[in-house]
Amino acid sequence: MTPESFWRDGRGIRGWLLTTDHKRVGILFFFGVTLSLVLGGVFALVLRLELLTPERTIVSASTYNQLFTHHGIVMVWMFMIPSIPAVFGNFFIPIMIGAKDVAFPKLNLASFYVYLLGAALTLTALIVGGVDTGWTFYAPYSTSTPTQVGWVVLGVFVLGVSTIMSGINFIVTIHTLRAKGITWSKLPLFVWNIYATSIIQVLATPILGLSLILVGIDHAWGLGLFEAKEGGDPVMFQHLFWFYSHPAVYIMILPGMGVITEVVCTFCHNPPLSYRLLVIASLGIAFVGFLTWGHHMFVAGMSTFDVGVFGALSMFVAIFSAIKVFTWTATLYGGRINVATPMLYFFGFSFLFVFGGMSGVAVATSSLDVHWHDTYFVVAHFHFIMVGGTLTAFLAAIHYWFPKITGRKYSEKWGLLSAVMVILGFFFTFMPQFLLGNAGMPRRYYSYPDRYQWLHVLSTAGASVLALGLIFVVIYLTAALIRGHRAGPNPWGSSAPEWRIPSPPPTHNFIAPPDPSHGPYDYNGKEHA
Amino acid sequence: MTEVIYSDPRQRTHALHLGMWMFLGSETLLFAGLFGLYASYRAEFPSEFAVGVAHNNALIGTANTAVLIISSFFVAWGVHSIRGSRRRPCMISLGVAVLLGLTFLVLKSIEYTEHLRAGLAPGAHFSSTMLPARGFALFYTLYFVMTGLHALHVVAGITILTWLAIRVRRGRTRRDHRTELELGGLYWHLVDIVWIFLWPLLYLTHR
Amino acid sequence: MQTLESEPQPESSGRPLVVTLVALLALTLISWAISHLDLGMASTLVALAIASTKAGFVLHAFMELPLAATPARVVVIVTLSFIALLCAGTVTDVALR
Repeated sequence: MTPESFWRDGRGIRGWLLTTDHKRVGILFFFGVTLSLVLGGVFALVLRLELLTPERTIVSASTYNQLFTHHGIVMVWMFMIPSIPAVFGNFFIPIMIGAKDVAFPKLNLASFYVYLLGAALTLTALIVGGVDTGWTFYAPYSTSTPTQVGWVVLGVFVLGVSTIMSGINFIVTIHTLRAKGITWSKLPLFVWNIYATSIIQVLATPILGLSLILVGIDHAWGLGLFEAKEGGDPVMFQHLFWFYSHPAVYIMILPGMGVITEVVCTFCHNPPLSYRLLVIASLGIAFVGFLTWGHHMFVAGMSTFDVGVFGALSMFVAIFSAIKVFTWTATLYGGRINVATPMLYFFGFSFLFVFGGMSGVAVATSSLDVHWHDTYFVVAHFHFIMVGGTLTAFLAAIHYWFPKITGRKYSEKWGLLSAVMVILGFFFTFMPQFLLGNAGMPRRYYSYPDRYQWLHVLSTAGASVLALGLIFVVIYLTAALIRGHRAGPNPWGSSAPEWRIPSPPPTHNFIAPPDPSHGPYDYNGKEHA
Repeated sequence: MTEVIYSDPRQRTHALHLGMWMFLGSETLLFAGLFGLYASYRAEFPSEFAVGVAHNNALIGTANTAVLIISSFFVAWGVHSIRGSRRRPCMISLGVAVLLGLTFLVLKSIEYTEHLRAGLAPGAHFSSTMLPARGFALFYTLYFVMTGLHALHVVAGITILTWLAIRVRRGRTRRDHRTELELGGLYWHLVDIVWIFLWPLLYLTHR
Repeated sequence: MQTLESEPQPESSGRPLVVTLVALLALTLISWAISHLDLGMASTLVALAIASTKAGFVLHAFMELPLAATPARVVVIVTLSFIALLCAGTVTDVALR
């Protein structure tokens, strides 16, 4: 008798709210992060509308300051950081390692409720008056602004706790629950990437926690640790903030890279050119990512010694990212390529991530960054990576694993159309911003000289196309849930372990114990290098 | 559920220990930023920091260091006892550790009261005229934040140890007391270690 | 490797714990005594070195780090390295401006 799919367990709503099934926790997180993406996106659309004209268009300057702050906070901490790990990591890590669940299932459920609490506190801040410090909370403005800093830092702190809980769970799961015969070198590379991400999450997030506590206490009662008149140094806040926030960007991209590896191998029916290189690159990114935080502070007044050291170290990260890009591209060679929606997102990712990454090398050059710092150039750089990289990978993951999670297929026609809209819409939103920044337009500015207007209009037009593309995705995926064709266990012909169980998976994942002799990249009898 | 996930109880114990060490790592890193601030501000205001350290009550600070070290010993003794299935010595050890933890907090409160009376308060509330130098106020702000954050962890640790002692006393469940005690003990030892580093930085290095 | 409660356990001696306690208290006393000497810059380093030794004893004897799995020991090393890294980055900024 085949077991029921995990969607049905006969316990109704309690079976969802009190679930300890990692797959259900992943679904719960999916709704959380998707709603956050929508909220963050709405903030972005309003501010892009505001920027259509050089002076006031629809909101006041102080509202505008709140809009970009809320956009950043919601996108970074409520969407990007949890997105792929908490949704797809949760859903697939146990399956990929041959386990029936994560190491601490109750902790997993708790991490979701802590996420909800953090989100609720953050949204409370937005409702009771908002924050206008920028998502970076730089002192001394953050400690003196009359806006709702207290609620927000509390909310983000709690969101950070959720991240640490997830990180610990994944690390322990991967170390202790691998099935018999599934050694580290037999793990899908997605697992390696989530592992590297989890290490960063556990080690870096507490530092953010502390910096936010200090800002919160200072804001409420006065501490002066970053006040010049008390002897403090505002740059010290930046050190503490970026020591976390730079590794945080690797928390945001590494899971996406894991997805991309899975997608490339499946849709080319090829093993990766070099498994080992991809593992080394993932761990290398995680490690080097901790050494580069000062590149956010080149013009803050740091010593020239630090400027030099951080600039040089920042270049090293690019090496590991490049290794990955070359490996993915080389994996296409000799493969039987299926240009389905996930693969289209890979092509978009390749171009946007490489372009964005190279602009990162550009701003890491401190002498050039003097010109670009705090301009739209930097905004374009990180959106190319975050949206062009992580969001694209998130969408790839949704489409790749949709048949496995739901047991249904979506419409490829709509998938391809929307992917094109998302990628092109994105490009026309942010490419103009490189030009804006290079031409001198500062970031976070409400009003600007007339000569920049055409680039802003182009950017807003692109954002509209991007938004429309995303709306289409929601529509056809919902339609597929209701009336999509049934998918079998392995519609893509993948060698990866999650495709050897039913679609959708049963509650305890496996009917028979997983077979370790069948590797995740066994194509055409080729084993991975 | 755990019977489903873990192939044997040893695997679960192993997982719990690993998880605890990860958690301890993250707790330690919560203090990292404060050590960073201390190091940098001390580099900038070396003499003001030295004067600040000299003004701290080294007697109470040292007594507190001894108190925590002895309490750590008793926690370790409690784990040692439960491994030999000696429940009563275990409970007594934990009880002593809790009392010592409370002693720490009492001594800390006495110190804080002394400081506040002298106007040595954190941040904007600093009103001492002993030494108007900015670095001196900064030292005391850091002192309050570092010892305050540590004290919160002492409170958490006392709570955990008390709860563990109660569970051992009840002894009703056939659960693995040993693992619980080992994990709770690890947390308390971390609290001890953090203070081992705070003590010289805030009380001894007065030159 | 932890054994189960229900398995017969070798009766281990509590002596190492007592010895560690004495050593820790002795080092505390030594550290306090040394702080009265005028060693200039070195006094902070000496104090921290003694503190590190004490922390090492706690990790070794009370927390039984040698018995813990490798990842646990890696966590300890990485955590300490990160604190050092953060201090290095901030101090080289402030001190070399």
